[in-house]
Amino acid sequence: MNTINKIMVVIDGTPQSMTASFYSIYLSKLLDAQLYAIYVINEKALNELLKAHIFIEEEKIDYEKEMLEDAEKYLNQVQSNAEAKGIYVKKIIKKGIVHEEVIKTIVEENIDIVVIGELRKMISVREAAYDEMERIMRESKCVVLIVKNKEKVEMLYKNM
Amino acid sequence: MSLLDIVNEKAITTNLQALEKESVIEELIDLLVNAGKVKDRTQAIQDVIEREKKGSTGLEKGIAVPHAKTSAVDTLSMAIGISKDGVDFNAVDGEYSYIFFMLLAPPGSSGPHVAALAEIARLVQPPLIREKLKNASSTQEVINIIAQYENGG
Repeated sequence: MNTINKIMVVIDGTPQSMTASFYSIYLSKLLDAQLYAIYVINEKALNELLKAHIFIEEEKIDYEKEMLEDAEKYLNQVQSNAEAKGIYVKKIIKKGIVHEEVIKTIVEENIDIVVIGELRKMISVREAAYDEMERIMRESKCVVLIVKNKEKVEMLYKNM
Repeated sequence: MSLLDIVNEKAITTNLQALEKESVIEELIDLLVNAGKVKDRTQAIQDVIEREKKGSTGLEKGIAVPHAKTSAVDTLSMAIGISKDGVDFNAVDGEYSYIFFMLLAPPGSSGPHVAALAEIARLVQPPLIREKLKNASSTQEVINIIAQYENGG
């Protein structure tokens, strides 16, 4: 019996996360696993900017709306790429602290593998404390797969 | 996100000449023009000033973060300017602003724009960093201060 039933890819709009999505589609097909794609709107950062007076309320609302549109755009792109290979994707959009929402969703949906894009090179100690992908990698209770090598991954996807 | 990824050394000055709000904005945008980051100077100035009209980005303790979404740039771009005399930027605490971070983001890049602004907000929290930046005398010194902060120093 297949013990890897659910794979979830974390999308944040970076090219790295989109490469991760191609590999998650490949893996989902290979393992016959259900694929989830999650995008978390970084509401914490928006609130911090409002508190610091860098944002005004109108701007926060505007950016939140744009981030929601971005989330939909990127998840639709993942969905379209997956459907092209006969894979169904369950799309999830959440708001909050990115790594916390991802980790909560891993538990809620009983995810077996979470897939993230390649981490930044030479990340500093301070950056690591704020880097959401780094924190997902460190704090997730399920298997975390970090996808590297864009060209090879895209070739795998293309040849599926 | 590392702020050093979005700032070009040509877009840093420790000797801002401007003494008024609008001219500071123009001088910072000119740094980005010279760094090859801004393709439409007039549009960039207009978008930053429009944003400032809605509420000043002069924060407390000598910091200002003028920013805008603008089609005048293709990528998220930052300029840093230090004014020795200070400028009345209508800051929230009524004090002069000495350290300016200008951030321009193309439409559709709200995630990285927010991440960069949040990183600036964290950078200027420690009083020692603010003091070092205010007293910096060269571009390289500004870069070193940010690098040291980002490396946990």
